[in-house]
Amino acid sequence: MNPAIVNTTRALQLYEPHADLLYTLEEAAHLTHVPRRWIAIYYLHGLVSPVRDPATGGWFFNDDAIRRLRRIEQLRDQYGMNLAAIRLILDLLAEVERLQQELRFWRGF
Amino acid sequence: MPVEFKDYYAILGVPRDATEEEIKKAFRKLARQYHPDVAKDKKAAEEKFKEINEAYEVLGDPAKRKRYDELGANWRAGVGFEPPPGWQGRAGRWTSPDGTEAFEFHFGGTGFSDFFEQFFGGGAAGFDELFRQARGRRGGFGGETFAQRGEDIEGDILVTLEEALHGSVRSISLQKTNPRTGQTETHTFKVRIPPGVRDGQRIRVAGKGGEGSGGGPPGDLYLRVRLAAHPDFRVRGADLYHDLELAPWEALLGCTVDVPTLDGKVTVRIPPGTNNGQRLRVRGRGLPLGPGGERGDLYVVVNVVLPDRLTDEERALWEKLARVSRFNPRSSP
Repeated sequence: MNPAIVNTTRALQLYEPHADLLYTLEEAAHLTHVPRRWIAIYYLHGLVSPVRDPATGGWFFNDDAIRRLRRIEQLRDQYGMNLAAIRLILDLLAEVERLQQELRFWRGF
Repeated sequence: MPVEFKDYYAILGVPRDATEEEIKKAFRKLARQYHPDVAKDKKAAEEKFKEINEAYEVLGDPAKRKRYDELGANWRAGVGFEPPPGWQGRAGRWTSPDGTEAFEFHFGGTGFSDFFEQFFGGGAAGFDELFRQARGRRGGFGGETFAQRGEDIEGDILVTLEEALHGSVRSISLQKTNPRTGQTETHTFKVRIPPGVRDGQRIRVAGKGGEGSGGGPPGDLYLRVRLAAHPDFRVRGADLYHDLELAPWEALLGCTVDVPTLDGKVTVRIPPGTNNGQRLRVRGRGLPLGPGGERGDLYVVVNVVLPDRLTDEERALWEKLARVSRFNPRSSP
């Protein structure tokens, strides 16, 4: 499980995200409630990508992919979007974020 | 839950019609004064540093500043703050698709105020609203209830460059109002900020999102990292940029200068003939690249500044130079 829950001497729970932690296809399906077959379909449509090429490296996903899978589900479920529209939205959001970061840099942040 | 209005202009000590340059200057001056690394009373300085950063995050961005000015147009100090109509906070609440169900949440320990979270938080400026509605109840045949996972919650967390360099552990509290019982619960937990964290990166805290329904698991909390603006550095990926002001003769004749880094000063040699805007690289003085211990670089960006006033003697020398020099920056090569 990630982030690992570690009991410290204090009573508070400590969440430790692990940068390199990866999930198998089964774990990703369990975490997101997206059937494995659909994750494969999303992959074929370029909506989500495992950290390595599945043909050679197997199916492994990181935390970003988990968040992305949940967002894909939400766009399908709530707004009835097809895969092309979802891809467009996610690409646009990523591009806006990238541009905002570039703008922040030039503004002196 | 009403939030307290933040007077960002007062925090930075600038008038409401201040120019972008004045705002930047005021921020740099205060950020140097209250930087947790230099201040004597660390605890008080840290609070102040966060406040200054939040104010600059909004006023330093013309689009956010415009929103803020509209939001606070009718606000007066000492009077309770009511957002104008149509200005319901974007973050901090979830609404069901039919608008009948809503739950609110508030963060503590992230370095940002409730006011900021509600009106200026979130990624990709406003587009996150797409994902801020509770999911529709899928397949509700015959009143049957399905186990449904809770919503994911996102919030911003302010991380200083020093934290990004060494990593840190932060105490976060999340206050949630349960839509079914109407009760407010506060969850406090610690989150490790890993070294090398990037601006915009999201840290997933499993199970701290909205409650599930029908026996479904809770959603997750995503903390979006906002690197605190630093008075001396700008950040791009793992690289840091430092703007270095030089006199024209220093750039032309070369010199050595002390340059700040996150781990103390280094001496940089400016070679003769260094041009305005030129970048000099100080290897390995950026932010961590990964868990391996390698670090990005520090770029020193040369900014040649002209003296704003001249003595008679200086003027005479420049005039002599103008007569003698055959340099013409506009001549075609």
